[in-house]
Amino acid sequence: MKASSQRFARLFFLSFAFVWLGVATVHILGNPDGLFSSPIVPSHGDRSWKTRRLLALRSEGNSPQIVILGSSRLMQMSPYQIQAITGRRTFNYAVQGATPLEMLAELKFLLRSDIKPELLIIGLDDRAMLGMYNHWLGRMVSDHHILRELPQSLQIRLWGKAITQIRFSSTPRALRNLFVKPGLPPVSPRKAQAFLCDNGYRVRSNLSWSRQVRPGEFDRRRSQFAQPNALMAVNLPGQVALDEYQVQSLYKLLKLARQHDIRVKLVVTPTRTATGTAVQADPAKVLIDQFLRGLRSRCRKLGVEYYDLRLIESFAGDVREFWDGVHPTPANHARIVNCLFGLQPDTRHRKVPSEVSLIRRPPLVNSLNTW
Amino acid sequence: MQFNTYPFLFVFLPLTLTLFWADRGPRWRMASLVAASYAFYFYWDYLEGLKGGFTALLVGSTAVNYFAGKAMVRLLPDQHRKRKLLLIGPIALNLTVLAVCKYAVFAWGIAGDLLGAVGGGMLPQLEIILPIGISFYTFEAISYIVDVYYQATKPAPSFLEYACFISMFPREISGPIVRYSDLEEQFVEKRAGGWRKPDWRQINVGLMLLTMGMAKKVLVADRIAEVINPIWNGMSSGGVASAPCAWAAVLGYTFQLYFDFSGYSDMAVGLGHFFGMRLPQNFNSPYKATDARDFWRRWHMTLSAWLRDYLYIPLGGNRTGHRARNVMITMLLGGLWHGAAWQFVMWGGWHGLLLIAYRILRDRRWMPSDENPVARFFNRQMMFFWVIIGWVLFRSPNLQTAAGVFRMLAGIGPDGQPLSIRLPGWYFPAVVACWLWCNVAPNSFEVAYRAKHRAVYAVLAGVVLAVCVFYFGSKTDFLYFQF
Repeated sequence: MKASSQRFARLFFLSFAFVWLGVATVHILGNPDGLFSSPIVPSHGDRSWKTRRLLALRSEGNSPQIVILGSSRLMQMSPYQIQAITGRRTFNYAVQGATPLEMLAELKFLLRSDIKPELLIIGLDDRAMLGMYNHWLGRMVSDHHILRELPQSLQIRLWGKAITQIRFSSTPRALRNLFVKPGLPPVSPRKAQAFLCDNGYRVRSNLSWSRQVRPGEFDRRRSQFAQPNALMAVNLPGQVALDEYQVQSLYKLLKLARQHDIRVKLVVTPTRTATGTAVQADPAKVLIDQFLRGLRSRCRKLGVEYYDLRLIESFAGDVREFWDGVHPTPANHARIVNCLFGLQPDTRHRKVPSEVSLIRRPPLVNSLNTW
Repeated sequence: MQFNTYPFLFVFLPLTLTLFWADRGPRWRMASLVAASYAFYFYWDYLEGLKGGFTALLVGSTAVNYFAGKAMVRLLPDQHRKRKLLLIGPIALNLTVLAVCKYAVFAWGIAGDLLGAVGGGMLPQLEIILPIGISFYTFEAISYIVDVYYQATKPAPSFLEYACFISMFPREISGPIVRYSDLEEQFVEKRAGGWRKPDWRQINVGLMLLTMGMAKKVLVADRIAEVINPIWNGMSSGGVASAPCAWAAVLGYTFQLYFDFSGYSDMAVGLGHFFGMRLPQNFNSPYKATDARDFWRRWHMTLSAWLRDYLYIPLGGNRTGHRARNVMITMLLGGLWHGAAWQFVMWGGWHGLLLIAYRILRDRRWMPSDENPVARFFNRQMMFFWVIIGWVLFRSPNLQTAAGVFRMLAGIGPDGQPLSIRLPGWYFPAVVACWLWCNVAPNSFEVAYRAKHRAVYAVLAGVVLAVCVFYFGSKTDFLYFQF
């Protein structure tokens, strides 16, 4: 009785372990949802795509000389414009939800891969410093080049998090992917929500195109974010604290860059004026202000150029040129870039393609047609 | 920490089992179980409670009831008054804490409504965090002190044993409501050496129950919830669903609640087996009930037994000629136990009416006998229908919504924005399958305790549990956590 009872339990655990490990392995390799950095089916997310693109540029001998790091708030900072101003090859390495921790890992990756830029433009989000982007950290599992730059304990934790995101319903697709690498879904630039250009620039195709053909819709969307109550969605919550880990990561990032003689322009990213005003009254603002005061003096000591662009007036921005409360449109990004390089905000540059022209004629290499 | 999470299944449970079954004596086993249970409670308390405050409340409640029981037994036979004080005091304290934590906001709201009605202005908002599990451990503490008073059980010989009874983590949060007498004999057996080695047969039963409970919760209840929650949210916000859609939502909730709660209970009992403890059954195929009394012998059995023994019978039961009154009081309070809101009271009252009505129907033989299979089927479906009606009250966030849902079910929906929700193709076959499962299939206890533990079942159970784990990412909270 005892032997067969133990046998029952043993069989139970063995079959549990076999199925669980088997499904997890199939998902890690087949990568149906792009969670992992699979050698068979790479993730098609912005992180891993941009990393692969950088490595491809390096092998072509076209490593970028200026790199933009930041979150989605900087993904539309135009490398074309920076290149037009400086004559230097520029790559936008900003990714959604990036925190200073991730940016530090990105810089380490760049240095390890002999892609040492001359200039780094770093976008700093207030929310990242309050730990409000930490749920994005798990996305780094999809890019092993970046992941390996993190402390081991954090790597293990993020791996664990990624595994908990496996959806059983995706298992058939994962199995199929093991045998037949999936192709990219055929989507035209006009129909895509967004796509990445060969220099990392993100085209928000659906928004830009609909703005072009239905400007009224854009105005209506924009007006939602002009009302005070809509700002609650982007307002900073009252009961928060600075995330010390992110703060220290930021300091390490700046120090590492300066140790390698890389110039740094640190930009505190803007929000719409009305949002900014609402934020002024928020208790969390006291924390941010205090932190930025300390950061400014640290930047001075390290020789980092510091730009506080939280308020639109600081770069003569247009309050209407935001997709929502925190994401500037290309028009405002153009002003920001001009400000960073000491130009008049409304300076125009030749050879800087517009969003609509990129939608009409996307670059040869883009995320819609390249893995 | 819920059972259907990675931290519980992959970290807490293996660690606790390893520590528990380390090669030590029964005191170690008990102490490690208590420590794990307090850690389990503290995990929730730290993240969502009072950062240890509610754990302290649990420990405090445990101490008060334990020492009251101890003191009671030390009194001389003629010290009736002191004995009574030692009974009433802890009960009053337990109920006061429960009332403050659970019902103060409700009472405040009523006071505010009354004040507003007489033009007295508005009361400020009152917010109190409800300590998780308080409804359950308060009732257990009350049952303990009453049983000790009436000498139905001896008091726990040590604080450790009493703490083990009250805080045992498998049922700490959402039951089953265990009485000390349920565990007393088991503790005696354990102290005498019953905990020397794991009982593998018991563990296998636990594995089956854990797996079946997990599947009911994760694969059935949560999947139904994904479909019906938008409909309920829409109806609660003034939207109007078509009659078929409303019925889909109500039927779905009927099964969601059963599979969620019975799934939790199965897991709790299964986990108890891993530690050598046999916890009482809480569900016995309630949707097979043929009348209201039968239903309450099958649904949340430990609660209905508690209400019967500690409320209904002390009120006089059916002996004083006030049976209907006593039933109604018991059921109204039973409804209120579930939540501090009028719809729960109404739900309890509804079941009180059903109990009274069915008693009359049975006594006067106005309903067909269950001996006839056709009649039994008819009685079952009628009872099922009345239960569904009650769940509308139970699920609705307020009485206005419940009234609106009733109108939608009848096809005479109130005025409002029509909801356009498309139900997935699998939904109705799934509802039919759930109905068949509840009416025809054996329940988890019948399977776990009576089925032979064959190798094929072990493999099947292991596979099912592994599949369940991959649905942890899209989990919803256990419905009875809110009580």
